[in-house]
Order: sequence, then structure tokens, then C-alpha cells
Amino acid sequence: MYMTDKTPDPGRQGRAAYADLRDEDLIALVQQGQKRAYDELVRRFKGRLFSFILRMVADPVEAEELAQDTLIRAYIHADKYREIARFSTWLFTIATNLVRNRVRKRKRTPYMLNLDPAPLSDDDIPLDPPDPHADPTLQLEGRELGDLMAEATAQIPEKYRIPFLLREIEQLSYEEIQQVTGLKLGTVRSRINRARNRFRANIKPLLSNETLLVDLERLEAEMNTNGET
Amino acid sequence: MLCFTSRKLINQEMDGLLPARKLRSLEEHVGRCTACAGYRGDLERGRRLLRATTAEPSESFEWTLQLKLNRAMKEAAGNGIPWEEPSRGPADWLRSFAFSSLAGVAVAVAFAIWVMPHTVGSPSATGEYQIAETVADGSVSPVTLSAGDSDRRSLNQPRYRTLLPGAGGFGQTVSGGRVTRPNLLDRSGWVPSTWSGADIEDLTAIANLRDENGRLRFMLQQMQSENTNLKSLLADVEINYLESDSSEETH
Repeated sequence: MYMTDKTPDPGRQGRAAYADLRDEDLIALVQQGQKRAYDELVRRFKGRLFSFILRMVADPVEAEELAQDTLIRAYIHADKYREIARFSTWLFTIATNLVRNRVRKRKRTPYMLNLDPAPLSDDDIPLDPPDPHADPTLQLEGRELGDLMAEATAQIPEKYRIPFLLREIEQLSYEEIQQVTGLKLGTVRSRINRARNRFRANIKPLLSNETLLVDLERLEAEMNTNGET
Repeated sequence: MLCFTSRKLINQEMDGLLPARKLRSLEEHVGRCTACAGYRGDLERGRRLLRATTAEPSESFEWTLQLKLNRAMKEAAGNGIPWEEPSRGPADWLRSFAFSSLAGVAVAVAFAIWVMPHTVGSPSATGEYQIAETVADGSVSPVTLSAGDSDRRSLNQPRYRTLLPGAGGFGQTVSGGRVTRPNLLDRSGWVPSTWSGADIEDLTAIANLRDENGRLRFMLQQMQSENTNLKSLLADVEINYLESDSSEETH
């Protein structure tokens, strides 16, 4: 068990008392039985885990479920954490294993294709159905940027996607990705490069769209504002 | 610098792994090559887009997590970690093997006891042994062995003796034309001849209690049927009583 000399700030109440502690100190407090330290870790990681898993499974309900399973595992197996790696690396290793298992299970389960779909009402049938091969820059309008990115990410093969997302979103180092995935360092590097090229090819048609760039700048400004507060 | 090399270096640059010396030559190439400049711009914008579009879980995330955690902790306290199958190490395999072997041996022994030729004999006053033998017509004929039959005598030594009154004799072990095995657990009344004293007293008590239990069960059944009869009679009487009351009122 990793022992920490860091303790929650006694001068502050509730969550604020744990806010200044490192992730590694928090998990050490969890090992000592402090549930509030765990709550703080949940607060810090729930969004990151959810985003990462969502881009892997492309289903918000499933992603939420897997993110919860990851956090539960982290709590129950907290005593197994040793500070030889960052807490985030350990947590994302758990998440990656769960996602892999789920994807594998999904591959084994055949898709059920309904050959006799229920008839739609007249209101459900669009008068002018969208052409799936239409110009992707036109598809951008009215669609969330997040959906477009999720779609572009989902088209990257799974084996490239995991190291790519860990690097680009979670900003894990190559060594940490190596620990999470169990791949060799050279393999990690080449898979990330391949995934980047695939991702670039997927978003290339969108990148020339002015609206997208405006949206991007707006989102980044919002993120900065939230980060400051 | 070739564009192929330049793109490899752009990837390294994005990860902050490009040495300053190579960075200078990369900048020179990108300054001249619009394709590589575009490539670098695309990768940077792609990264910005990915980081700007992180999703947030639903508002119920935390309390659902708490519920699941409570359940998981409860299960973990009782049955191990609920989502993990228990690992099977060498010790587990050895244990399984030992159990299977023991079960196999037990079955073999039970089968051997069941198949073993079973006869029950008792010494006569002359030192001869009489054993029961089933003949073709289903009747039982005693066979007398002399003291000289040493090769058979050891097998025909009395291995069981009577316990319950009326349970002795060859007739007790013969049923439907074949010899039946005495069973310590049934009421045939046979116990190993090596048993004595308190063992036999206990067995006698158990056998008596079984008989008593059977007798009481029979009495209970009789009383239950009697009770049913009485209830039906009572029901008839009540109806008659009510009928007579109502008839009195009308009169």
C-alpha cells in the first residue's frame, strides 16, 4: 500500500479540502479508507473516462456504464495500486481492458437485422432524405461538432484508436501508453502516427469549413473560461 | 528533406520529442513545402478539435455509481469480486483432481461391496456353518459346510448378526427369490459382528424410534381422515340447524 503524508486541508470543508491533493495522494487516502478522497477522484476523472470510452464504444449508455465499472474497480482494487505509475495510467489501464472485453464480446454477438421493419407513419418519413454521399461540409450544418468528431474517430481501427486517444486526449506519454496497452514502444509510436493520418483523412473535408473553425474557437474559449473558474 | 521524413518529424514534434537541431531543418522544409505545412496544420487542428469536444456523462452518473458501488461492495464481501471469475491456479486443479479421485474410489468401493457375493451364515451346534442359497425355483435351501471346507469358511464367517427381535434367520435376507443385502441403514436388523455395547444400544434405540415414528405417522393419518369426516358431519349439522331455525321463524 502506498502511504502518503498528505492529508486533506483541515481549514477547508468538504470537497475543497481534497482539491489541492495529487491523484496519487488521493488514492493513498482511499487505501486508508477515506471515501471522500474517492469522491474527489470520481469528480476529476468521470468526464475524461466517459469521453475516452465513448469514443471507443460510440454509445453513451454503454460508455457511462463502462466508466462506472472502471471507477468501481478502482475503488475495490485500490489496495493494489502502487505508485510506480501515475494514477491516471492505472485507471486508464482498467478502462482499456474493460473496453477491449466489451468490444470483443460485441464482435462475438451477431447483429440482429430486422428484415421486416415496422411500417413508419407518414410523419416519420422525411420528404427529402439526406444523401449519405453528399458533400460532408454541408452535413456539418445543424450537427454537433462532438458527433462529427466521434464519427471521425470511430472510423479509425480499434487497435490504432486506443493509443491515439490516450495520446491526443489524455496526453499520456508514449511510455504510459505502453504500460496501458502492453505494446512495444515502437508499436505505440507507429500506431499513433497511423491513427493520426487516418483521422486527418476523415476530417479533411470538414477542415475547410469556416463554420467549424469558428465553432472550434468558441469551444476552446469556453473551455478556457471554465478552466479559469 | 523529403516530405516522407518531414511528416515523421512533424509527428515527433507534436509529441514534443523532436530535438532542436531537427526542428530547425523541419521548419525550413515546411516553409518551402505547402503540402507539409498543410499536413501539420491539419494534425494540429484535429488535435484541437478532439480536445475541445470532450463529452460529459449524465447528471445521474455519480449516484448511479454510488448505487453500483454499494452493490459491488456487498457482493465482494460475500462472494468475491462479482465481475471476475475466480482464478484457477494449480492448487485449484489439484484440489479438483483429488476430489474426483476420491469420488471415483468411493464409487468403486461401493460397487465392489454391492457386487461381492453375499451370504449370511450362523454356526450350528456342531461347528458347521449353514448358509442361505437361492435355488432356481426361488426357494431358499440351507447349505451345510463342514469344518474341513476351510477355503470357503473364511468367506462364510458370520459377518453380520441380528439386532432386532425377529430380524434374524435366513428368511430375513431372502425376498422374491433372491438374496438381499443386509443394510445398516435399513430395518433389516443386521449389524457387523464386531459391534457391541453402546453402538448396538444406540442402533437399537434408533430402530425403535423409527418404528415409533412410523406408528405415530400412521395414527396421524388416521386421525386426519377422521377429522375430515367429522368436519363434513359438522357442516351438515350446522346447515340443518340453520334450516330448522329459519323454519321456526317462518312458522
